[in-house]
Amino acid sequence: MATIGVKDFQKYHTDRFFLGSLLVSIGVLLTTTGGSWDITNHLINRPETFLSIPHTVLYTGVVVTIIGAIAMLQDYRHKRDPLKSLPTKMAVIGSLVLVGAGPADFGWHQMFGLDGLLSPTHMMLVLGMLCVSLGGLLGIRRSISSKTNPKPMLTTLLAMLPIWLAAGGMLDMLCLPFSNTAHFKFNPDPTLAVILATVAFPFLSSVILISMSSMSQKRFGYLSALGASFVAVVILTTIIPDDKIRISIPFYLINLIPIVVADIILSSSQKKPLTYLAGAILGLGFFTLYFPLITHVYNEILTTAPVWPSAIINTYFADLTKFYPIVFLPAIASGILGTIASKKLAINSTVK
Amino acid sequence: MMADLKSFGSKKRVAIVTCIVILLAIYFASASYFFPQFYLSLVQQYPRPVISDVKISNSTIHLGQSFEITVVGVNKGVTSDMQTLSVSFPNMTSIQAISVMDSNFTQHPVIIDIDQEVGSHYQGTQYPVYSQYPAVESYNRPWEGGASHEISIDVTPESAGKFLVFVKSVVLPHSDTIHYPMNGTKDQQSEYVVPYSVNVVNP
Repeated sequence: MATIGVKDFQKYHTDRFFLGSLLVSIGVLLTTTGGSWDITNHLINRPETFLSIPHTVLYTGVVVTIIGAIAMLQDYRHKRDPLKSLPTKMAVIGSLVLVGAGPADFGWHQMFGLDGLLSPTHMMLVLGMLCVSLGGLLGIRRSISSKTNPKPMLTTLLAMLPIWLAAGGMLDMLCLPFSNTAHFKFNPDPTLAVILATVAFPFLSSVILISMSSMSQKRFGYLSALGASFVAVVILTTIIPDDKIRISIPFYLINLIPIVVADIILSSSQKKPLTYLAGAILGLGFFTLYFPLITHVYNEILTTAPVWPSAIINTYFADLTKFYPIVFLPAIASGILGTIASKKLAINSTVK
Repeated sequence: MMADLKSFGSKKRVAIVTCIVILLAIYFASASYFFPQFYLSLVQQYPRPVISDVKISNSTIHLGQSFEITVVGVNKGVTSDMQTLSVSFPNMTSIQAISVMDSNFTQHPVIIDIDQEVGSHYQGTQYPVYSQYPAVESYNRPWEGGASHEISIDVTPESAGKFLVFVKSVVLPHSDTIHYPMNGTKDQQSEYVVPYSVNVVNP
């Protein structure tokens, strides 16, 4: 895939709204990847400072997002294009929530000390990310219809990835047992967490990847590129920083297989049953795609002991493979449901 | 011509289906058999806690005087998720006369008072017990392989006689099999310790 050059912008009379939407998506991508990297550093207890690299990436992302949202708002106020109203509102409201989450989180730390993964302010942060990333996607899709987007599919892919990462982050927050603190016991019930993970993660993979395929008119390559980008982000921010699980990179790369297979199926047939088959395959792949964090969720109902960083690989491969037969059918069903829901997302962001 | 096209389409379909079946077979075989077998067959390497040095400023002191104990711990194996270095004082009845003078651990040492809940039997807080005498627990999380850390504690004994000091180091996880020392005297947490003593005489 080619990158966006200056000539592309000149040729397509790129406007401020498109650039704003692009910046919003890039900003949330930086924020979510920085956040994922930061969670890994916390898990392996790497000593951190406020200006650690993950924090710098995260806050740079917030600044880029705000600049993008301001650009979208300026363009909308100038042109009053009703098609740009929803993306602008989502980007601006999401950015305001993101900006508000910072001081709120600081206040929460002041009142209650060390916090867990799930806290009201962290939830506020992720909701802001989700809202602003949807605004970015809608903005990029609207720019395609106004012919101001020089690289429609590349930018759509760039906008879909942060939505996936933000939604995945929200599910992590609701499923992982990292939220009990001295003041609050926010850890989810282990059984409910397993049920949620088994249903929601396959659904998420399916809805995001099949929407990407739909938005690219089912051309081969875009679904795979989005899936490969997700795999790359997890390897870079979760696996490589943790030397205890770095050895699992070859294993993690097999996640590309169901993604490519789903892409082949969707690009070679328009038949509904085959679309559902692609969704089912993507759903089934969740158990390997959401490694290593998913280990902590399923381990909770096997033992009350936490999984130490050095025991992740052994726990996952020795104990969690027992779950394969149990999660098989729900994962297929959720993947198919994701296929149905993807039509909604694809229609809402369709070029008008 | 149409027959050729149909035949080509049919061949293409067969090729795609074959390709999909092979790819999925590779995926499921890798995820459920090959990689689990591979990763579980790797030889596990473990951390190895050792207390490499214990320095006591005075072997004999007068009652009312203090002495300083410096304990150096090292991990001679691979990096551990967590390693503790504990110094406890069976003859003390309160933490008032215990103070940490120096420490190069990444976490602040914790001074444990009497009747505080602590882990035992190398199972951490899964088997909690209540402390009967004061202790100072310092730890690193993680503790790099080959790295050493030390702590210096100033103590003023409360009575004359043989004043005992227990020293131990434990790694987590695998604490039930990997700890220092491996045998000998047990402390209030039913874990092995190396005993040291200072002679406290009346002035």
